[in-house]
Amino acid sequence: METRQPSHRLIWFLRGVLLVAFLGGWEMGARAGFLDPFFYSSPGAILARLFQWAADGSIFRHIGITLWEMMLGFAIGTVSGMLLGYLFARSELLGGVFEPLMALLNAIPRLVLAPLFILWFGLGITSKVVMSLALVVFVVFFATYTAIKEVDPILIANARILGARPRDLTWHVLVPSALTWIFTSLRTSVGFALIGAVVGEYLGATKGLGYLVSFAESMFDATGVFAGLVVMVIVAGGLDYVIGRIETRFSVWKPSR
Amino acid sequence: MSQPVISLRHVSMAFPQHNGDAFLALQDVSLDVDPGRFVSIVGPSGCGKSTTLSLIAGLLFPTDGEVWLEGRRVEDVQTSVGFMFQQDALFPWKTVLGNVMAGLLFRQVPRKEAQERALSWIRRVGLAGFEHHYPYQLSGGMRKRVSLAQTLVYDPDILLMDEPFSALDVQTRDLMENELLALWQELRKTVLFITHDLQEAIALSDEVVVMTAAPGRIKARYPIQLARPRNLLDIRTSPEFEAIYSHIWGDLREEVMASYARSQ
Repeated sequence: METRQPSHRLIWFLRGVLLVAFLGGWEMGARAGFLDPFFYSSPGAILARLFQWAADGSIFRHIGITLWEMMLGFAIGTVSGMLLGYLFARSELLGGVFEPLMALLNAIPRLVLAPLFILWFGLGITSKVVMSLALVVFVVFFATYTAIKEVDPILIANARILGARPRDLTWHVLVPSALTWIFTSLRTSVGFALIGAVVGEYLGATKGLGYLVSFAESMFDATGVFAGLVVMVIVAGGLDYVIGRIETRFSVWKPSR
Repeated sequence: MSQPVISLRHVSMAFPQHNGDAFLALQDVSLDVDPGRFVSIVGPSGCGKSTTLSLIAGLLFPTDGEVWLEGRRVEDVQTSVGFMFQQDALFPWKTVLGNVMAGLLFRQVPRKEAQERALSWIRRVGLAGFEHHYPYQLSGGMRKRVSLAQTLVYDPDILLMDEPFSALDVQTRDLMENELLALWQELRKTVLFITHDLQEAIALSDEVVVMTAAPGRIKARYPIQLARPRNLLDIRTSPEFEAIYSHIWGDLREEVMASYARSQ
């Protein structure tokens, strides 16, 4: 058995080879006529489309709209998820009544609700924000709820003897403890926020990345669909990078893995 | 004769169990501790030693009997005591300084003063230079020093210590015990120290209380008349120490065996 770790450089090299082989094969297949460009498009055509979108600036408007919907959905979903999680975890009565309801709602595949949200909230950004927050709120709610329910009782006992009033207990013990869980679920919830916004746009909108893809589809424009997907991947990758930076900034007290 | 600062009067404590029965952890325990004394409670595991401390601190309330602290009945969590837990009780998201300051800030001490007092205690427990480290960056012994500073910084008159050093390796533990004793010699606080280690109890204390296997009752109390100040690194080999040890061990042994037999 080979036990030596493969070097970083080798891994990156092989990744490059794979990418070039895939794109090259695709491009050549399209040019040679193995792959019908009408159905499969080609990397060159997709790249050209991306440049065109960038040149006329239209793509940035769509990205901007999607990000804006996503951020609103994320912000509202996170804040309400935290508040609900905190309330339900701290109050036996509220928790007892509502926790099963939250679990039940969480079991509904919310993407199916998207057409209803569009019906209720229209084709504008509201329906996308609602879709996005409907996905985020549960992730954050359960993270907060579990964090507060499972905070080490020794820490609470210690804080109380040290003189913590209920307010101190919230800010010095419960919130920091919950934040670590929420940060752990941050990647998931940001991903969900993006999915919510895009799916909402896909089903009915006049702007945004989801709309772009759905419009291209309705025109049987495979190049437009692929170009839209590439933009989504770039946006998602960029968000992931930003979150990674935020995570390292805020969880300094955690041992680095 | 001065008033006892800690007073348990016929205290019993039962915990409900899953099967509906009650588990009797403490049965009719009465104990007085005079101010400035260092008293240890030893007993087999599961004899209610820790429960006793929680009752005194007002983290739990007895099923029967009364707990008095500094002339007042314990009916709420007692912020006038210092409590050192067996487990790690530091806030992992706070630095050493943040952890040591916490009690002062909770007590509305102005931030600047709190910081100065915390820094001076951090130096005193030998952690100068580690003010901005997080608990995960410290060794077990260092974390215990932070706990000690966190507890002593607000100057409680009574220290309740629940097997504080049991998780440490033997050498670190000896050192920590020695330092604790030196601090106590200087500060003269009342200490109630829980341990399952009879040697530790004798070496540190003015009095050793032996508890029975569950339900915990007080089996016997032994005054320890070893001269002070003591050097813990030498004391254990003195013939006097050994005589006391074998005397108390006779009593404790029965309880340990009883507890062990029950757990089989």
